[in-house]
Amino acid sequence: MNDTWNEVSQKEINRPKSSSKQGVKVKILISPLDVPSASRIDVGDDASEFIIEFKYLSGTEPKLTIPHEDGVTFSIGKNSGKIYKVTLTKSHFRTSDSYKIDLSEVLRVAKSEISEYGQTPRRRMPVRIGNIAAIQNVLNGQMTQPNYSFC
Amino acid sequence: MRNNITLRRWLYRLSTITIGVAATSATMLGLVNEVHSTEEPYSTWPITALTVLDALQRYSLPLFIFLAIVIAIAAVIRSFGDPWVWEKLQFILDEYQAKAFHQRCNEPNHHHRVTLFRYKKVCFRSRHCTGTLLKPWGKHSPFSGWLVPALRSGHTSQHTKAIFLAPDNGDEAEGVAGQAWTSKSAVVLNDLPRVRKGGLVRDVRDYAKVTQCPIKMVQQYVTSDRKLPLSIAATPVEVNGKLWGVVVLDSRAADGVSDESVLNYQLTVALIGQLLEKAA
Repeated sequence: MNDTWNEVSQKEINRPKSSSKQGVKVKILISPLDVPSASRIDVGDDASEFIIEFKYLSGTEPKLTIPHEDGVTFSIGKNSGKIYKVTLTKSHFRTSDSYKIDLSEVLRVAKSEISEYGQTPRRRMPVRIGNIAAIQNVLNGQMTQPNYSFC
Repeated sequence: MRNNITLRRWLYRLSTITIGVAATSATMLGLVNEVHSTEEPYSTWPITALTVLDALQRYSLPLFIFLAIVIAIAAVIRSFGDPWVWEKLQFILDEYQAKAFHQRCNEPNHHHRVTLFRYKKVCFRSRHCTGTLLKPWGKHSPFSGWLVPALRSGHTSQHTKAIFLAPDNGDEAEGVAGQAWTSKSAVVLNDLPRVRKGGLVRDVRDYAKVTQCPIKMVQQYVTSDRKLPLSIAATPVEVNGKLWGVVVLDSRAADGVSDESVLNYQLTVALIGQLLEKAA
């Protein structure tokens, strides 16, 4: 079990989008509460799945487990719709001859599944666009970090 | 705004004691009603005690009703929230103001403010800029959804009644607070047009357009010679994962706020949300 949380830098993840309106500079940022404060990647107890977890500063809330396509499961905040956990089964990465998977492949698949999840309309479960954008940025950042802690 | 903190603290304590005393009294009254004064061992009690017992039994129904009303009133007072939480929130807003505007510490506090706005689906009390004496909510329904000031840093300019429309139709949301509320994002505006009494009408129009405030609201500020902020930032506040309101920073300096005023205080805003769990 990987107990090490990797801190997320708010400034690196949450870059403002600037525009000009009537000559006034307008900056829009993802709500800081939508940006995870930390993340970690782990393999499940029976080594059959990859788990990517996110931690937020905005406190605790009940979570719902939502199965998605291709053996992907999301743990979503019941009130906020924020993504707390993404579980990817190893079968998701099955290739013809082996299970050789590198970290960047896990992150790439997770990113694409999260993006898909964000575009899937759900009646009761709100989708936090800002949170999805922030998580995508976090995963992008981790893909470029070769020393990312992973057990 | 949450003013009269001393009165609130006193009322909260009184209501806590009242509920305890009233609930104990109701239980005792229930026991007294089970007593038969003609039977042993009560028949041997002093005559004064039996008289009191008899009176309590005779008036037990009105007494029960009275105690129920007292408990209900005390419960309503308690539902406004523990003033301790609001005192701490005031402290956090003051500190947020001091840190976010530390370069302007020699200027009056009310030139650079931090205000906590709360979302209310229904608002009858506060007065919108389009409101009248009989219809304070103005041309919109009081059930439209509003961002109402709850707390402000400092000790001056506490009597603001500025409220912003935050309706279901996000396009109609007013102010930078309304924009942050609708988009669930942080919004930062710098270098807003300088609007002053006797100045250009175009400036008023531009200011209103950029900040998404009603023109009438901007005009009211100009007419009463009140200074409008030249930079504004707003960021959402969550309680238990649900959007609760917005924190707005406004400054009379064109570069008074920046994206760092929001990004560096993520923990502060999260802490406000945590404390609000215990408030009303």
